[in-house]
Amino acid sequence: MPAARSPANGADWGIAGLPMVICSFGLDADGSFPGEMPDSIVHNRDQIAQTQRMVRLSALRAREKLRKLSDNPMVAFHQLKFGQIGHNAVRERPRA
Amino acid sequence: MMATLAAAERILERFPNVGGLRLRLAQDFPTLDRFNFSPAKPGPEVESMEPDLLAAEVFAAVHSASNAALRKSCGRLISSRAEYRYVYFYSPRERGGRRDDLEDRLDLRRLDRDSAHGIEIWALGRREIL
Repeated sequence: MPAARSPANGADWGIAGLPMVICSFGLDADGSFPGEMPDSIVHNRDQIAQTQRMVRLSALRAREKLRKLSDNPMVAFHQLKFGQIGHNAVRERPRA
Repeated sequence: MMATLAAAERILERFPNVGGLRLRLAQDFPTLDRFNFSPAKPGPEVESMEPDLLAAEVFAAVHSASNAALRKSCGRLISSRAEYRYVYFYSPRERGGRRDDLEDRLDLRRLDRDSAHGIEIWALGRREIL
């Protein structure tokens, strides 16, 4: 999995694509951060495929939330990560 | 996260009767602390529910040598008691498949000569991740 590094000191964010990074950071579809991600136990490939679909969908939704903050979701995510804006702001569009 | 899921899929393909895998999907994100996020308990990204049967370290990076991720993953597996041990990684700049060349470069057979099965290094394909 990509480590949490900014584009400036490592290009890992670009590997899995922004949606995957957002989702990996736990930004939920409603813009909130879940408190804990439990271990997952899988027994078959169907379960994995289902999880992959869920992750992709969640990431797409999260990206749309970030678009409300900025036309560039990467910028918004960066600002969230470094506390330049509060993550509650994802729920509201802060600019006209 | 997607690399871990892809690695688990590969493992289930290879060991269909493994009887369940535990995935640690978010342990590589220490900066999540600022969001009060509690990472999963430490351990390999993928391991069999049956103790000491199988363990896999998984990472994605620009290059397999980035931040010594491959070396660190192998180091953790060398100290693992699992019978079958794998490193799966995704790098957009590297070819997929079994990576004997990296196993040789890290001299895993020498470092890990006491084990019955050596550590295998596999690169994941782009289609499996995205």
